[in-house]
Amino acid sequence: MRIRGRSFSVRPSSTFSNFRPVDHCPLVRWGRRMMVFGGLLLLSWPFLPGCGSKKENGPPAGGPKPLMIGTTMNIKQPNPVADYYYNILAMLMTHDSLVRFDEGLNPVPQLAVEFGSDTEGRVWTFDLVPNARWHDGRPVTADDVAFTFGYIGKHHVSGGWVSDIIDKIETSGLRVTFRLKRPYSRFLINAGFVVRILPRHIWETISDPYQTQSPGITVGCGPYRFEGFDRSSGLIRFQSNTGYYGQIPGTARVNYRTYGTMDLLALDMIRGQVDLFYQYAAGMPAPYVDKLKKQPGMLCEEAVSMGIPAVLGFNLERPLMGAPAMRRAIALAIDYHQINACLMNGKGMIPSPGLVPPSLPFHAGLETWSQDAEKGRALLSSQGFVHRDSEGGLETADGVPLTLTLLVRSDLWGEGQIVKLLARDLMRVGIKLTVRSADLSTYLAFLKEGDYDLVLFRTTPWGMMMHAGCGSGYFDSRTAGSVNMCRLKDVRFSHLCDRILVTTDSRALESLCGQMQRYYAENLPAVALCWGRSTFPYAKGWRGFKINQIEGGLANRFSWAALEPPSPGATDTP
Amino acid sequence: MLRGKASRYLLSLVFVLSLNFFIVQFLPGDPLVHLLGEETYVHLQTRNPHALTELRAKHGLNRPMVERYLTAMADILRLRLGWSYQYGSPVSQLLFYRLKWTLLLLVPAVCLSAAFGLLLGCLAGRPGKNRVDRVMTPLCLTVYATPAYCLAFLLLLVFAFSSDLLPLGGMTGSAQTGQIPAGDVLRHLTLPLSVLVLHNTAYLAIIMRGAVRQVFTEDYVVTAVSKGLKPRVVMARHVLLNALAPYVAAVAINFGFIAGGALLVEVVFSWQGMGSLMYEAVLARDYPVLSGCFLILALAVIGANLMADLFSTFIDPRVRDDAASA
Repeated sequence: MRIRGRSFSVRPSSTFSNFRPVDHCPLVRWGRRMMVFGGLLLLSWPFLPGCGSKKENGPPAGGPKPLMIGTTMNIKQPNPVADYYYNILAMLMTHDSLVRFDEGLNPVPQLAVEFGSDTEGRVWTFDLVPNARWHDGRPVTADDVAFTFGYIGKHHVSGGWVSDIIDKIETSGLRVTFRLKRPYSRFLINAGFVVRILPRHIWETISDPYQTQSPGITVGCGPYRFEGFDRSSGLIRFQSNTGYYGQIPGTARVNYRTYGTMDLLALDMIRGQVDLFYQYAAGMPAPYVDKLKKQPGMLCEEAVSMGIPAVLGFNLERPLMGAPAMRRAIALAIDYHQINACLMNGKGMIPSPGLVPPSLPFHAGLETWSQDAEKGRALLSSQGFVHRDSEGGLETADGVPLTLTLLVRSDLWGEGQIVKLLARDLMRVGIKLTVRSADLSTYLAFLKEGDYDLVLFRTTPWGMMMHAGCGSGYFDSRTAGSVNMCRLKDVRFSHLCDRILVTTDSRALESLCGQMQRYYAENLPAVALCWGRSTFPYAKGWRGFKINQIEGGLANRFSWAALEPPSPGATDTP
Repeated sequence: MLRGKASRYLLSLVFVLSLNFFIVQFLPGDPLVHLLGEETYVHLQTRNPHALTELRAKHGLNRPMVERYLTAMADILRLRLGWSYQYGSPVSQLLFYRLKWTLLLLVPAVCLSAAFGLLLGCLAGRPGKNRVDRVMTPLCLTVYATPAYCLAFLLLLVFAFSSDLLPLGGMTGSAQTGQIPAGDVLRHLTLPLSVLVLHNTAYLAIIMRGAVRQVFTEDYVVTAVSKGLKPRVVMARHVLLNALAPYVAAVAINFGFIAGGALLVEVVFSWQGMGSLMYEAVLARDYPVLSGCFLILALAVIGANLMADLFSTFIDPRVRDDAASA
């Protein structure tokens, strides 16, 4: 046979079924060799020079061991004004405020050694510590304080309150006097603590704090200096400020490492690579706590949370939710023990209708909730709802099924489980739930539209202090405007808030806060589903950690002053 | 032919960028939530709504949609990608940084998996009694059916957590001096790279096996075998070349998505690549970053397909002839 001038013969033995290229084809043989080589290479990779594992948190040659703090906070730029999460680190490490608040929420001096107000809280005076210096060596002056408030008022998007509240700032030597437009008893916490004082000589040249990459922006006057932010390793390094006017920290170096997931962070804690967990407004999530507690190299501190891990709010502008009997029926349907078991591994506390957790000042100590579905059903029947649905759901007299829309945030841990429990509990009294789950942006957009009956949210320690305290910032329609969890417009409530805001007397405050909690219990604008207990794990060997929830946990100014690193030679890893 | 293809690809690019722009813009939610933080945003709603309005104007969020669209397209043409209000840095700088790390992870991953997939597919695709096929095919199916993040956690637990051989995550260790040693990067690269190579190899090997099997049933292969050609010649000239076309298309798709990163693997290993950047940008409604990411993604996908087309023309005479006649 000849095709295109080339001849070949057909061999009958070379049939298709007998095709055995594997033994002869060099490509196949080469492939096999490559696979064996590749496999060996992969297996031996970790043992190659420079590729072996090493303890990243170990002390550098001759240096003290740094404190390694793991966090899942997504820090994007080391800008204390523009980056929400770095601002928290600045508060913890580099930037001082006029005063601080201790665990009992009592004000303690920081840049201001003396502070006080007139009786109605309209004039506030702060005397600055004389020997405070910025990290670049310049002295901290009263002018810096006045500049900071002016700068925030002018350039910070959330600084509108400055001109809203402050009439005039006067400086004289080391004294700063704030004259307010109206009495404001919470100036100390909402301005004295919240505002991190900025160096004028650096920030006065920055016209837009949101579009600056100036290296000087990390300069503060706190106990630690910013050393660097290595994006590739997710490491933010701080070095103690030896010229600090207060107590110089015993731990010379503190590093924060950012993690993409809690799983990775927890594994690194178990491996001894991370000494401490930090997350603003949260302890370690419950599922990780038990595992960490069992580690021989770990210790845990616990405290009753100042925030509330899960709150069910009612949209009071909806006709159904406007009825107090409906709100109470829902509150009675909930199995609080089950939610505590699910969300906090049973370590939380059953809440009271007064909402405010016992860790906050002036807790009223009201009787805690207990589930009573029978009573809940009776309340709903009294509202004219009837059982016609074969599945046990209630209907109105017109035959419209009683279905409520629950708005939840998809990005918060534990929301999925709570939603399932709530759906089951509410069905027990005949209420069906439609769930709207959304990420933060979408969630806030839905809140603004008001197209929901129930909303699941959490409160932070700081959130509970906002406005007139006792969580009033979440409910007072005058403060939260269109983005309001419950849209509470009751004049009784507004009046209570106003009275708290003009009172500095602690006995009067105690009485007013008690009234506020009784108001919550009576009117139920929202129901706490569980009071949390925050657990803060840390590596054994470190001594002196203090809990301060308003700063977020064990990483706080009070710890820096007292913390002692592990003694040399001590084994602090499991 | 090239001119026709180029215009088609250009149209695709414009269409993809426009679609991405409108999808993102129509998402509910306000980008300012992430710029300000949740509490501040809620606080400002009443206390100082004027500040929010000003901020919207500053970032061009208050302009009509059509105007924003035209501005975005014009900016893309001029390669002015703008400023990320989430990261506080120019988008181009951000994209350059993230793309660098993504390419470091994904180019070796795609190349290695393409090579391994080719070899395994050829070995497993041979007809007759084939031990490689009996072992490799179920193995590949198992690996491919396992979600990449599960595989990632499995490797992480074995090689990082239990044996302490490799780091748990991140892209480098503690670089105190600013100099990152190559060995350190390799050590951090090993696990995410292994996951991607394993997963992609399994997928590509299955495709290649199917293609090789298909080609082996063709008459010209029977003829080639019958006429006594050596098995390596049959495999290399008649089977491999003809099976390459669908394989190249699959690899091209992989290459195209390089720029998109590997989100789940990036999340598990705290790798700061394009995938996690896009995810964060979507959550934060960071429109300039999203616009930049989609531009790079679209260019990469279209570029990879163009390359695949050219490669097919090169290896397949039928495509070449079609193109020539067209």
